[in-house]
Formats: sequence, structure tokens, C-alpha cells
Amino acid sequence: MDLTTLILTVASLGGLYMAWTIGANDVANAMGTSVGSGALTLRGAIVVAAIFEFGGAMLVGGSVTNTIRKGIVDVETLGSDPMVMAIGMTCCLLAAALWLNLATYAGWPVSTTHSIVGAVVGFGVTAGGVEAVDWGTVGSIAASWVVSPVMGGLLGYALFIFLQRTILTAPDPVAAITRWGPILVFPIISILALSAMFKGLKPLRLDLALGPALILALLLGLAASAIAVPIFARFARRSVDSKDAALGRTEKVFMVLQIMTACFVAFAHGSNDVANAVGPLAAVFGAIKGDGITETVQVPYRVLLIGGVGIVVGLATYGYKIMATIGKKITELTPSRGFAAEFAAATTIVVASKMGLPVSTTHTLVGAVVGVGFGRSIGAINMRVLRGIFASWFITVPFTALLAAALFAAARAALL
Amino acid sequence: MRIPLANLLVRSPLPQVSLLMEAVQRCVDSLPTLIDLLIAGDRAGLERVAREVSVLEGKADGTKNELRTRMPVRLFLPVDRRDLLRLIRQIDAIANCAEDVGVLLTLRPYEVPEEIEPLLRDFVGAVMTVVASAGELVDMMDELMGAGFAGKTAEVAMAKANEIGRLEHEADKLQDRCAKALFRAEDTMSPVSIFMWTKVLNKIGSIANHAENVGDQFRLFVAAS
Repeated sequence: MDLTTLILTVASLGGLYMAWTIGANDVANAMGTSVGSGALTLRGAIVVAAIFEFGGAMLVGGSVTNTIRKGIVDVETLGSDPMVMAIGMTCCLLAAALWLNLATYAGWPVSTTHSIVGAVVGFGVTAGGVEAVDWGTVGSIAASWVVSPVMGGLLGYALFIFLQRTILTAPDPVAAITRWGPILVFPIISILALSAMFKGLKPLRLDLALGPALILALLLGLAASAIAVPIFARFARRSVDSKDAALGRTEKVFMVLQIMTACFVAFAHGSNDVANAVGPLAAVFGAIKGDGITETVQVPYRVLLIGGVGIVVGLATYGYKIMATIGKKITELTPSRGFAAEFAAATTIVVASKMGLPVSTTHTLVGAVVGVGFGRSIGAINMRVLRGIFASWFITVPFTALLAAALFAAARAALL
Repeated sequence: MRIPLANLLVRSPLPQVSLLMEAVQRCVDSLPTLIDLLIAGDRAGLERVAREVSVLEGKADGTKNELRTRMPVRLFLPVDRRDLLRLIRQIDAIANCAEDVGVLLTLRPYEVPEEIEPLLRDFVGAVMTVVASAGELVDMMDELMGAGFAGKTAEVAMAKANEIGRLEHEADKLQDRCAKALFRAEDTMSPVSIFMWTKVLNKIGSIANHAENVGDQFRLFVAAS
């Protein structure tokens, strides 16, 4: 076996392994709130996740992939040998995957995103020195890790307070949701459509500039709202006698909205997190194909495919288990709270991925749930988890950086 | 397994407050029996029922302790943790007073002036109403949490707290009438007897006071939003 095949094989396996972890673990986090609140069955959640994760990865996954591949390390400083890039990125995948495996085993709430970014930084410093790493980009990525949970939290809080004022505490909640339901459908569909069409959907040649994408997204949102009006009206026609029954019925409506946001979350997750696995893989492919390490073309389509397939396989083979655990543990999240948290998290993630910032889905979702909790609506939140997440910011990146650096140094000595 | 989201949400200790209230109400439920036995002069019966109340109070204490251990500092709750602990203390105090009434009645034989009998029954009845009202308020905890301590549900809870205050005032007036009846008969009774009667009346009155404090504590929950 020659060196190229060896590296390609190891890198592909590493990428698949990363994607598998993401599918098995992260996706469960993303879909857990819907399963817990009863909006989706376990089976339904897996189907939704499979379709929309794959869709998000294939249609929007490109922009974050580019950041991980090219934004962090300055390729000019790596010399002219494309093998340096190929071996380095393979080491990054292995380092990140190893760390994830270890953290999963130990039960630490680390992020796949943080792992891979840390690894790429470690490789960059080893291969090209401290100047090889674009610290500005790394800084903005690191800042987005703090900003995204906070942003998710603020959005979640605002959305929940809004729902509470207008619907949940209204004298007639069913009438209120009939009025507000279609209006809530509008932003869900619009933002989802906007994120798919603006700089996305490249494979379908539908990537539009901001202007046309915005107009089209708004039109789609309006159309969805119009369709939703009679559906909600039909829902409200059946009368309810007691206040409790009315609230129960309102939560049922939120289940529908939550299923929509669950699709949105899966889509956002696919668009953001697939890059963790395929970003480095794309770099390996690019380097070995002989395009040189300065190539600027789009991420190869089949590399995104590997990531998408890996996620779905991870979900199918192991994700159901974690999803069942999560679903059982977070049953106290009612559909209205779940909806607020999911919508806030998904919006934050989509906006961040559009800006090319890899953020942690799990951390953002945790931030959003805590934000909803600040609306005094969630029974109890374990703040220790937040401490764990906070600690993982400080441990994950240095650890994967060191690991990737060590792996790369060893591989360079052995192979080149 | 690293599942931050699953570990983030914890089972809330709040619904358990209703359990504590139920345990406390079981103690208070023995109060009319105690008074009946007092009026009938059945000392053996008083001993027996007072012991029962004591056992029930111990059970309520167990529930209280369990509730407290489920409230570590690392939990982020929709209500102020200190307010919640104060609420638990007030609910628990109701049971303690009920137990004390039982103990006081077994300490010595009591002469019961005839005039006080109907008033005493009314007084205890009024105190029971206050406690029952507080129980209804505690049962609203779940619903209040569902509504995020705001809106219509919060208004209903506030109204309930006001009602408890009013009922407690009624019980207070009845306590005063009992005391007056007692002192009208003071010439026929020993000073020690009068002294002990005053203690008993105050203890029964305290039950209503603590029940009222439960209502006030709920006011704080709602006001904090």
C-alpha cells in the first residue's frame, strides 16, 4: 500500500468515525427535547433526524467546512509538500476522535466542534510554527463558543416570555394559539428557507444572493402561514370545558410547532456539525488530488456525502440508545418550553454557520434551555452541567491541540 | 455517556411540597378528635390520639428532610431557594403545633367550662378551614409552575392567599372569644388550669398563623417575577 492510499484510508475512517460519533451523540442531544416532551416518538425522531441532518449536511454544510479547512491554518506557511496537509489533517481527525471517545467514556460534556478546532490549531502550530495559525479566526471561533450559548439563552428567554404573555397565561389559550400559531409558523419557515437558500443549496444550483433569498424565504414563510391558518382554526373548533383541558390542548399545538422546529434543529445541526468530520477530510482529499494546498474550490460533494452518511449511520446504530435515555430524562420539558428552546438554538446555530463560525450545537441548546428556565418555567436545572461545559472549554482545545501535535510530529517522522 | 442535555434537567422538588402538606394535614385532621376527647374527659383516649399525632408528625418530618436533601445549591429553581425553604419550614411548623396541642392536652387533666365548649369547637373548625385553604394553595404549586408564576393562575393564587388571611382573622376572633369565655369562668378554675388553657388556645391559634404564613410565602413566589 502506498502512502497516498494509506492516508486516504486512515483519513476516511477517521472522518467516518467522527461523523458516527456526531450522529450517535450530538444528534441525540439535538432531538432529545422533542422526544422528551412527547412531540415525537423515538422512531419519528430518528426519521426526522436522518432526513434533515442529511439535508443540512449536503445543502448548507459547505461554509463551516471551509473555515475549518482553510480559515484556521495559513496554508502558505506549510511549504510545498501537499502530504504535510494530508497527514496533518488525518492526525487532527484521529486526535479529535480519540479525545471524543475518551470524554464520552468519562462522561464529560465536550463538544465535537471544540475538539476538531483544537486539533487543527495544534497541527498548525507544529507544522508551520505559531504564525501559521490565524489567531484572529481562532479568536472569533472561540468567542462564538461563548456567544452562541448566551445568544441561544437570550433568544430562548425572550421567546418563552412572549409565549407566556400571549398564549399560556391568556384567558383563553386555545383562542390565543389559534391567533398566534400561524404567525409563529412564519419565522420558522422563513429562517429555515433563508438558511437553505442564502449561500446554500449549491448542489441544486439554488444558492441565491441575500436579496432574492430573503424575498423568497419571506414568501415561503407567508405561504406556510396561510396554509397554517385553516389548520389551527380547525384545531380550535372543538370546544374545551376546563382551563386545564384548554392548556393541554394548547400544548398539543405546540407539539406540532415543536416537530417543525425539530426538523429545523436537525437541519441546523447537519449544516454546522458535519463540517467537524468532513472539514479535515476535504482538506486531505484536496491535497492528495494534487490540486495543491492552496486550492479554493468548493468542498468535494462526495466528502460531504461521507459525513452525511456517517451521521445517519451513527444515529441509526447507536443514537437511538442515547435518544431514549435523553427522552426519558427530560420529560419535564413541555412542548411549549421545548419549542422555545429548540427554535432559539436552531436559529443561533444557523446564523453562526452562515457566518462560517463552527459552534457547539449541544452547548447552544443547553444555553437555550437555561434561558427558557430563566422564564421560571422549568422545574429545576442542574447548574453543575454548566460548570462542566465551562470547564470543557478550557480542557478540550489544549488537549486535542497537544494530541494532534504529537500525532503529527510522530507521523511526519515516520512517513516523510 | 456524555449527555449534557439529559443531565441539565433535574426532577423538580416543587411537587413534593404538596406531599409534605398532605402529611401535615393528616396531623391537623386529628385536632377535632382531640377536642372531643378533651370535652368528654377521656384521658386514655387523649394519650392514644396524641401519640398518633406524634407519629404522623414524625412522618411529615421525614418528608420534609427528603425534600430538603433534594434541593442542593447547584439546582436552579423557578423560585427563590430561600423562600422555598421558608415555605417548607412554615408547613412543617403547622404539624409541630398540632403535635404540641396533643402533648399539652395529655400533661394534666383539664376542667372544661361548659360555656367554652361550642366556642372551642368553632375555633378548631375555623383553624381547620385555614389549614385546608393553605392546602389548596399548595396544591396549586404545579399549576403555578406551569404558568411560570404569572398570569391568571398567579392571580388565582394571590386571591387564595388573601382568602387565607381573611380566614385566619376569623379564627383569631374565635380564639379571643374562647379566651373571654375562659376568663369568665376563672373563679371556678385553678390558676394552673387557666395557665394551661391559655397555652392550649395559643397553640391552636399558632396552627392558623403558620397556615397564613404559607399564603404569604406564596405571595413572594408570585411577586418575584
